[in-house]
Amino acid sequence: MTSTVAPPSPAAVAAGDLDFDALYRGARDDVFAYVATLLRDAAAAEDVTAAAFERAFRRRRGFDARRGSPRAWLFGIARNAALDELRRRKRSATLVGEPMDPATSTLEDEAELAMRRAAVRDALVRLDARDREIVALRFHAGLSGAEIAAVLGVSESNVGTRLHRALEKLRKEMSDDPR
Amino acid sequence: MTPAEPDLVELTRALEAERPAVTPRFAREMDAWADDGFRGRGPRVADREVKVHRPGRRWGGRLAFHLSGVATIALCAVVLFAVIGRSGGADESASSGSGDGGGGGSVAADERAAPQRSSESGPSTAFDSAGNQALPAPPRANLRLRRGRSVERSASLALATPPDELERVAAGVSRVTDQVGGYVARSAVDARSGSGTATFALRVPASRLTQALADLSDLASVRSRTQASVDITATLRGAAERLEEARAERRGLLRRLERAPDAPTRARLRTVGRRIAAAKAAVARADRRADLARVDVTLAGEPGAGSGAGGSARDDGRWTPGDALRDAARILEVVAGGALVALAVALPLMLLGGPLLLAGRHRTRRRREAALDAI
Repeated sequence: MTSTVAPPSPAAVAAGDLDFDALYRGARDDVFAYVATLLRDAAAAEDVTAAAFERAFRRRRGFDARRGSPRAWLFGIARNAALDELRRRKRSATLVGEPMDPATSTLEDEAELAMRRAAVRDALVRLDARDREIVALRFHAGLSGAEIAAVLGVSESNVGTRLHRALEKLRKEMSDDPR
Repeated sequence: MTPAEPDLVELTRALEAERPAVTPRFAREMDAWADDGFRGRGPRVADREVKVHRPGRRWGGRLAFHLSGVATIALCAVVLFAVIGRSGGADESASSGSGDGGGGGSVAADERAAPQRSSESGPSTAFDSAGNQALPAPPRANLRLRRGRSVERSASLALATPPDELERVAAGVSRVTDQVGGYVARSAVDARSGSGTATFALRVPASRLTQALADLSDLASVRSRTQASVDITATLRGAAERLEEARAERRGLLRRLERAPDAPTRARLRTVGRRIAAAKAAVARADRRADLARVDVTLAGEPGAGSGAGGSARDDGRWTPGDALRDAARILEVVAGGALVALAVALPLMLLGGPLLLAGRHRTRRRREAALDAI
């Protein structure tokens, strides 16, 4: 995961122990990646990401460091926003025009690797939402096991188990893929 | 999680490589919003497909909070009006006499039932030794037996005022009596230099007795104040029963006269007629005793006596700073009392709202989780 932490702007907002501006700078891309994987819709992911940060900013004074890290708190808000979007739409969205990272596309120009990536992408789309979500939190958002547990409201051991099962399902999907 | 298998390692690398990336346009919009201190709504508000859907806030918690707030405000208003209304018409405790019917009566019920007839009565009327005024017979409708108890109320009030204000206060007694719809049955004023006395026998509607006593007390310094009530229900009912018996006998005599008129029947009829008149008069007297309360006022001119609580204000209609302070204190008392009662009501509502709020949040969380299973 690449995330550039820019120096705090003059308008940085700090509420209690929470430096919201620094949190935004460090987590924006991760939040988008998680939401986009969960929703499978880049346009909706942008909307949900903006809504998540808006909600988080409004609630920044309610952040309690004793209940978890700022990232876990933020991803909890983002998760709820994404689930609300799913409820509102009540349909499966297909990923539309997912943007490719220009930096990696130049490195992934071998055909075999491109096919491999396509297989991973398709398998990820076919995963059920709960499995896809935990994969997104771990590999796209870069959250730790403890943070994922805080976001999902489960134990860390449960996170490990679910993540392992999700990866097994991915491997099975990819092995079943004729490509 | 530490991937141990080579293909798992490759899978995780592939997953990381498939991480969706933010478009430069979206990044610029978000950064601009952040640079502005996150003021206002985030970027693309108008285009946002995502409705800020907070079902847990809309239902359950928010509804419970708003409902409890509205209920609290409504209850505060009701309590305030009830307290103000009750304090304005509250009666003081009265000592009940043994009466001739046994036991104290329901004074409040009789206050409601007492008709305002004092306006029909004239001023200063002669009294007999028993204190009963000579009034014309009341209309027939007032002879109906009252429901509930009938209570004769009386009060005595001893006031003191500086001798030079005796006549002014005496005039105030008459004015107050007129204002409550009563009349002065008897009065005597003896104004002397340095002292003086005045006595009044007032008749005021029983329903306005409390108001009359309050207004009279404001005229001068109160030295003593007593109230009494006598249950005259048995007296009134006895008179009404005698009246009905006499009427029934008269109806029988009239039927007998129609069949066979004779002199003894006619003589008996005349006797019964006199009995009916006497019974009517007895009922009317009992009614008047219940309708009108007797108030005896004695006024003494004392050099050291102060003015009444609202003497000058009442006399000339001015509203003094003292009146303002009293009114302000009274309002604060009422508000404090109302707030206390409202708090007693609001606390249970909040205790109810808490579980509602939790239930709403729990339902919202379940519905969100269900969205994951639906796709």
